[in-house]
Amino acid sequence: MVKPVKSSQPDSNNAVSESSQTANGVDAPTKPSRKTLLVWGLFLAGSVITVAMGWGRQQLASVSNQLPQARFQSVHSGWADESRCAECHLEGESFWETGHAQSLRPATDPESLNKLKELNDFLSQRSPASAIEFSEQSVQATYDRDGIESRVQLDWCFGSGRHAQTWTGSLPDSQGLIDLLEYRWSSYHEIDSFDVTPGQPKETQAGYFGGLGMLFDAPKAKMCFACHASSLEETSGRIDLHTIKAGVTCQRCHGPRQQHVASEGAILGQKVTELSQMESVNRCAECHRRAEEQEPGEVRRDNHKIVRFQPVGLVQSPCFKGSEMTCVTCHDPHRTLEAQDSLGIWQCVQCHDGTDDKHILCGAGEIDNCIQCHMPKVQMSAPLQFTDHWIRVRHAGEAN
Amino acid sequence: MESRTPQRSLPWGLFLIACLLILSRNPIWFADQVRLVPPLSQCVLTPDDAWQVPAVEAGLVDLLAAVPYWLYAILSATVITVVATTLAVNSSCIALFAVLGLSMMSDPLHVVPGACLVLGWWLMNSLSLRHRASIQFALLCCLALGTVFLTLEFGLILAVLLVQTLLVLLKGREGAGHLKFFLVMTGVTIGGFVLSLSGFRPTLLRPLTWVTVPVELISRLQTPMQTWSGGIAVAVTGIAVALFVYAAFQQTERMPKGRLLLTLTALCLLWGLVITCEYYFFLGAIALCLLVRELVAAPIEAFSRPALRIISLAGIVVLLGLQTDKVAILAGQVPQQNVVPQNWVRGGRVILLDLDRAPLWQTQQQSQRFSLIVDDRWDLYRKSYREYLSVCRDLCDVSIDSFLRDDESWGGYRQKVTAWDASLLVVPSEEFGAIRRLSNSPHWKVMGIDGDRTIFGLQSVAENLPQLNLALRSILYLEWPTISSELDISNTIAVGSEQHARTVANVLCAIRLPFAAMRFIRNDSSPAAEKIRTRCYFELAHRVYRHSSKGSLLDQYRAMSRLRREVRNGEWSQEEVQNFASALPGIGLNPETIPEFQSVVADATELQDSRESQREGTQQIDSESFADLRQKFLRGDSILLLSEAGELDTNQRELMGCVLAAGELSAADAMRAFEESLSDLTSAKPELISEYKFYYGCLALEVGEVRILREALTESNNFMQNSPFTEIRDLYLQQVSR
Repeated sequence: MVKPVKSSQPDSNNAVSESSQTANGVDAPTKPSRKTLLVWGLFLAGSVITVAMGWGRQQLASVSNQLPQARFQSVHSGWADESRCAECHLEGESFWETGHAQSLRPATDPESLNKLKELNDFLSQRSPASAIEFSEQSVQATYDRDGIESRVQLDWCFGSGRHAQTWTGSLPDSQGLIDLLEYRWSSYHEIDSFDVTPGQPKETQAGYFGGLGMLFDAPKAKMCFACHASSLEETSGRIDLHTIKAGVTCQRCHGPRQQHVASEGAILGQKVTELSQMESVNRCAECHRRAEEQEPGEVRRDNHKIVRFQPVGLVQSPCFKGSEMTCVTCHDPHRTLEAQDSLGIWQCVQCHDGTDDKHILCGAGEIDNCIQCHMPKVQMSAPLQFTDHWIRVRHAGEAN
Repeated sequence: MESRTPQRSLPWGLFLIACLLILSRNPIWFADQVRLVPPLSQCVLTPDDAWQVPAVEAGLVDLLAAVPYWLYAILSATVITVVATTLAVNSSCIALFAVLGLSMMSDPLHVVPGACLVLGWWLMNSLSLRHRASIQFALLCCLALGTVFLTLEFGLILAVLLVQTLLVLLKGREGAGHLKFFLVMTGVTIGGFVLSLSGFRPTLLRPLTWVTVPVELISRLQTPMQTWSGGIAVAVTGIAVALFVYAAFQQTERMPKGRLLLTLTALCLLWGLVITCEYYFFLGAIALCLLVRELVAAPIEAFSRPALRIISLAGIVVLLGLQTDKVAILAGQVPQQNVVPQNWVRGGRVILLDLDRAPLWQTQQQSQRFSLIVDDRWDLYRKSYREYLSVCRDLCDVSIDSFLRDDESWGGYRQKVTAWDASLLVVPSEEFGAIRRLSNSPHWKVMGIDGDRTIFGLQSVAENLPQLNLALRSILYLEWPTISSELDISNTIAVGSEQHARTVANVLCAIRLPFAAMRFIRNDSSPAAEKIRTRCYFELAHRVYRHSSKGSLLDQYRAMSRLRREVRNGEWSQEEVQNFASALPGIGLNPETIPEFQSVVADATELQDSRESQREGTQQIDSESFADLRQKFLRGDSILLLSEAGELDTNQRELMGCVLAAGELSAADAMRAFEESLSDLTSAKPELISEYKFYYGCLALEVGEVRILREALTESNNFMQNSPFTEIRDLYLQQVSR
């Protein structure tokens, strides 16, 4: 196959080659010595190693899988069985009664079913075109428009019920991604009844789903679950509905704790209590919203819509700016709101105790019940009230 | 004389082949321009001490910043020919293999560095300079400095030059003193540069640091073997080098062991570079060919039999021919390849998802108007790439607001994009999943689509608004043509070849515009186009199902019968089949009940089971047998249909026959079949005629016959106002009447 030929032009390497040429000018193959074979052996080994390294590099070069995941998608990165938290932490027992822990449940959960039955009775009076149908395995919402029936299966109940509860149906799209239909009717704690879901128009809309509610596309649907569930698994953008861990539970905030459990309590990584003031608030604001992520011009004293997003107001407050306070100064997320002492004044008087001119005492002469004036409840357009966390002296004309 | 003729003609032959191969890679070679020197990296995240190519920064080589493609082809072919003829002086297949490999992977930005490598080899081995050591030394110094001043790849060139110098020194040739001095001088100079210029060292180390760069951002840092042409290039170059190594092994005793060891080590490293990094293939292969030449005393001849030569040449011709899908060597008109962003906006900051596209934005015309956040200079941005990639991932996932990651850092693109002040986002058009998700973004909207990239504009940037509106009108016009107006879409969608048309069609289908997508593949019956058509029918079937909860016999039968056949024939990958299986509930089907998808469905989807049965329970508009048959149609069970058609009345059979035929006919022919069938309908139930008319209207929309569509849907409405298709019928009418 390969034959050395007589060089047709003067060769630059001839210092060595000329000595090996035979009389007729053709190179004669010589038997390689052991040393030479060793060199070639090394070359062969080197080539194999190089190819292997190249192959290995191809495997490692893709860093997408090495990039940090969202915490709500890190269930396979060392999550512990959360039933074990209560073995050491007292909070682990009462936590499950909190709104956080109950922020999402299947629509077929007994509590949700009871509400839905009440809703069905309510709809028969208020909106006869709408109805809820119950079967052994599922719940279906229907809407009849001029004899044409729209129908969707309700899969999830969002909200703990402290404020409201809203049901959703999951609808796969043409690529298998999960869209959500947010049902038109919600349950409200304040009125102990039902009304149109916040953010939805009072009148039914056109379209197949117009009488049933509002459609959320897949990315938005994911964000709904991200704040109402502790973990959801996703493949190529598709949420696996069967693996959702409903409710905001221990590891959603504290991170994976398998090692912590295995080591019987070793503190690994930074403690939540050691976070900086802003980082601490931002942890809560991941779901309760950050001020810097509001649309331009929205963060205004007269904008009641931001009251719903507590950290947005809190970080505007002089109290926040002039102290080290965070959300957990007043709130203990491991207890129900009722069990917390978040409505007292002990937090306020830590600074406003009359010993420092900077921290003035109440101009109205009140000595308790600071919240009523400085953090009043604000009525939303839906039957919802939220405490305004923009702690401030309210001037005349500022509506509560 | 007889033996000289082929030797003289060989370089010209090789040159011609190289030239043709390079030209064949660019359909618009006669009009296109390329850069032969790297652009200045002036991105948003460019560090202050960034190393820029000095000659470019000083404006000394502006001529090389935009040279005609044909001139680049000539220059590149010249370099390749010189390299090939150093390997084989006779009409050897080795030279052909080298030409083939190098030509298929030649890179405009590596022509100058390649020429430097060839020049260095010539300076080291030139007989005429052998006795002029001082001149040789001076020229080598000039070359070393020239590479630093002209190229970014001076690290690799200098390394090869140093190896060659060491090889000469190990040979113990006269003039070695000067070469030793050159070695020392080069070392001292590089050391001085490294110590005094902080940006110099990362650039020097580019041939090493590419290993750490995420290939998701710069796909050319992957192995060339991922593509068909890259695989062939690696194979033929490998054959050429292997033949030389084999020949060298036979002559091995003539070579000093130190020299042999050094050469083989260098070859080993270079071969590793060539097979693992497409970006460095051209330069690495040139260095490899030049170094492997050191192993043997003289150029060799292999495969010298005429028959083998002919076969090799035939292979090259076939390769040229295989590329004709995207080649227009003889075409008279320059097809538009890409949309032109500078026609829309004055400028802006651009996020590129694939940094291989960076040079397109750094041409002289565009670099003054658009600035990238980062480009493909990994020596400058290696540390920023991880964060950049995270933001790109968040953009593609439409993860807007901050979310905590498992390493306690914060994700979410809003704050980063605001900080970067970016206004354009460029996604490779093959990234259909990302484009699909981005089409849902409240911030980013499509501004332009071509076969290469899909450009999204930030809606809140006022300057983007005119084109965003035009783009919206253009793509809606394609989906829902109107009678009243015509629209020039060339500013929004550019298609240069059938391949590009298919990519654009896939993009449009991904953003839920199946009618628009099918207009780009109307006359394309290639297997790839047929697969896109199947996707479009699936999308249409989903659209009707979503708006009516009732499957469209026409769309769903076409989608499912084609899809199942294609899955059986193995035309879809396992991943794609899995994706379709996940999507089947979106048209009311349970993948577990369809044989072709049973193997990929791991767990039963009880959730959908009950939903499907309950939805279908509301659709009994006809006799039991017709309902059964309808369900089988919706599943695409074409084999069962014929045997059961006898139970239907004449009108139902007519409808089913039309739907069945539509599965095999073009939209225009199917429309005609429906038209004929409709005229024969006698005493049919109003709901059946209404459904007939609806399908007829849908086919008219697919063909682009808006008048027929409006008539058909209006009549469908007249026959049955409260049909399950009312909502979708109204939507169609509303869209074409706007």
